[in-house]
Amino acid sequence: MLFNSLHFGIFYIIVIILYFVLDHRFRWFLLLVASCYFYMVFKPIYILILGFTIVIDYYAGILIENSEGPLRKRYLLMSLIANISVLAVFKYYNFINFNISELLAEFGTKNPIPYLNILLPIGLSFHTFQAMSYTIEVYRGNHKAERHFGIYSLYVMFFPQLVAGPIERPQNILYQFHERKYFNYSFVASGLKLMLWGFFKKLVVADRCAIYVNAVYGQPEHYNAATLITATLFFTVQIYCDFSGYTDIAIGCAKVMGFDLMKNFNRPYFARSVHEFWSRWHISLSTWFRDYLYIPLGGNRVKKPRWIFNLLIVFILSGLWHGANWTYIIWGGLNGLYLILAILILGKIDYKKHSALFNGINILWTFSLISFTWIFFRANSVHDAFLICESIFSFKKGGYFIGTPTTFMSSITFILFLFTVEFFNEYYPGKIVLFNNKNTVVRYLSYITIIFIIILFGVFDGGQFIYFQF
Amino acid sequence: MKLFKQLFLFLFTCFLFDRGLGWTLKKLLIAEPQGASNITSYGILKSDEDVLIYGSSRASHHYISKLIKDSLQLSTFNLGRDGMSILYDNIMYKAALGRYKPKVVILDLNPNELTWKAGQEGIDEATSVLLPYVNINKVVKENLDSINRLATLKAQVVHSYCFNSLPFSLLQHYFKIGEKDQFGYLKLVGSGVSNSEIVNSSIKDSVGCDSLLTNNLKEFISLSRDNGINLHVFISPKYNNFDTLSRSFEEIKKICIENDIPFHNLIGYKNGDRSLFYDAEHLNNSGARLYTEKTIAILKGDAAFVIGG
Repeated sequence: MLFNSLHFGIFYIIVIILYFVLDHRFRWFLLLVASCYFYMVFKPIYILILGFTIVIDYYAGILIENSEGPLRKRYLLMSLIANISVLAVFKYYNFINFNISELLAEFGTKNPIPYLNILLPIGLSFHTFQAMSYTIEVYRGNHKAERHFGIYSLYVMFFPQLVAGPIERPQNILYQFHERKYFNYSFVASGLKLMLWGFFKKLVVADRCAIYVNAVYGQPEHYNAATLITATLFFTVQIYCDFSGYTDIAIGCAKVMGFDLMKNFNRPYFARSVHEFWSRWHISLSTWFRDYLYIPLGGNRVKKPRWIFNLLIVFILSGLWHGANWTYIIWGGLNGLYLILAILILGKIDYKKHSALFNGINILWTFSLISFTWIFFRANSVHDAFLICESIFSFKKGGYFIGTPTTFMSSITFILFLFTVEFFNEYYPGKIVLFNNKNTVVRYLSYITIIFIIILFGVFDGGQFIYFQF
Repeated sequence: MKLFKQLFLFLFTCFLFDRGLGWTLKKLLIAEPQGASNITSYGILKSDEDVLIYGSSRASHHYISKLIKDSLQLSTFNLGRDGMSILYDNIMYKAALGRYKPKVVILDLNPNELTWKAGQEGIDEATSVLLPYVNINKVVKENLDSINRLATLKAQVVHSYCFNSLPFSLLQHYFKIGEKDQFGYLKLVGSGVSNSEIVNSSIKDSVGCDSLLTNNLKEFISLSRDNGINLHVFISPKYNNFDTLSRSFEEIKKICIENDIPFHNLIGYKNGDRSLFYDAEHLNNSGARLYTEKTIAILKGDAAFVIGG
């Protein structure tokens, strides 16, 4: 079910009413049923995959807790292998098989391994990673194994964050399902405000930019350098608004019911370095890789070559996490490369000691570097990505593509609006307050303005969130 | 209690705001001096010409209204609109017939008219363009209701929703930015047929004719017959030379013949003459001039009809 659909609107209202009407003892059941329904709207049969990993990880958690010595590790490995196998089959099997075919074709041999005719279950990487974080945390002794099967299932399936995160840790969310929640006006209000802002980002900015981006990236060979740069910049904004918009709606949805989900974005395009960007972008995934891969590999407490290797492997795997395609692997690799170059050339910079101009230039430079990586993320193929890079760097001539002038104008207007709001939130927090203004008239007017901006300028064709495919 | 009081106040303010905004945008839409929605508004609310031309962008760029008017001594307006299908044309036609009866109607169709905007796509296209008129014109409302009830319901509850994506274009046209039409005709200047567009092949449909589109064509024809309107169905020129045409084309031809409606297949007219085409689908102003003269000759009965392709 998509957040930006009428279906979800009706579903959510019903769930909220029932949630607050029901006694605390039955709420977990309501949320679990609602989450199953939410997921099954996409493709009902794939609930079985979720069911499989839930059962494995639930028992793995208990077994890990009840065991000692090497047996604990064995149970953890069993759980991790089960989770990774699901990912491998559904997400990477055909990709690996395709590459084997290509390789064998070079030697004139045909690949006898058949392809699987399967669709990728929606949000697979998200809930698999969340499930893995549970068994790892139980193994590390940071969290007790959950004995209530329904509550554990809800930990994996909680509908606001089921298909595109934030990827939660058991310490942050599991105890909340046990807590008795009361109707809290300020929680409801702040949740709804967050949802409203998320809808603005998704429907008005992301989906509007997508019209231009899809036209250009669909046939990149037809466009000149300026058009390709514009489309790339639009995509830079689109991906941010699409994903952070989703996250805002998810966090807001949960907040209304009294749940606190972790923060996933922190105005990433105001980062002064690529390193800082990754501490502001998709925080739940970055910290997942940091805690469960980068640090176990030795992190930065090793010799420099090994540190560089650790960084590169983490970023390449992060790229692969996004999708089974070389474009994502290159995207991840490029980000890793940026960080390695920064370590080798720049070392550690204390930005607080530098002038606003220096920081401003660094923000623009980081924004450009990150925008460049998005070319690989968005392009339909590696060939297209390199074609776009070539056209941009050779300053390919030709007419500038505007598409529908009003769509172009709307995109620019609302990108500027969004960045202005983010600028004030970043550098002058509390100076210009709209949704949380103490003056009722200003507060109401700001809600109404955003609602009517969404009604008048939103794209309502039910465009899917980009990160659902991961 | 605090929540309900605030919710009521908030919803009431939203309601007032919506009605005010809806009213303002409606006034802007109707007063629009140029642009695509001005042509739609005109067709629904004001048209009173003797000759009306319906169709997609190929209609709007191929029939010079003034030329037809001067030659036939009949007032003419071109109501063609970019990207629209017979579904849109039929609703527009019914809205006009609710006010008066034109003498002659030209319906310009694509050879693949009954397949190219099949299913939900055609419904969505027509809805997006006609939704602003749901609270203005009863005929439009009734017809959109029958194909997209949910959209009309939303438009009736939230008046400003009808104008989704329109404010910038309304302002643009209100301040007369952009090219102005000539009685609905939009001229294209220059020749931009690219080599990649040049093919010598056939237009083939992979799917059968869409029943909704087919029924709308039949209804368009029967409305003309019942109202005694002289309807001519045209397939206007394309740059490429097509050996065989589509299932949709055969169906259109069959429906016209069955209903005794003049059907003029001019898809091959001036084929391959780059100087007359803006792109593979559209004639430029010079091409449109020649083609309109040909159309006038056909309408006057001066040239042999190419009935049945």
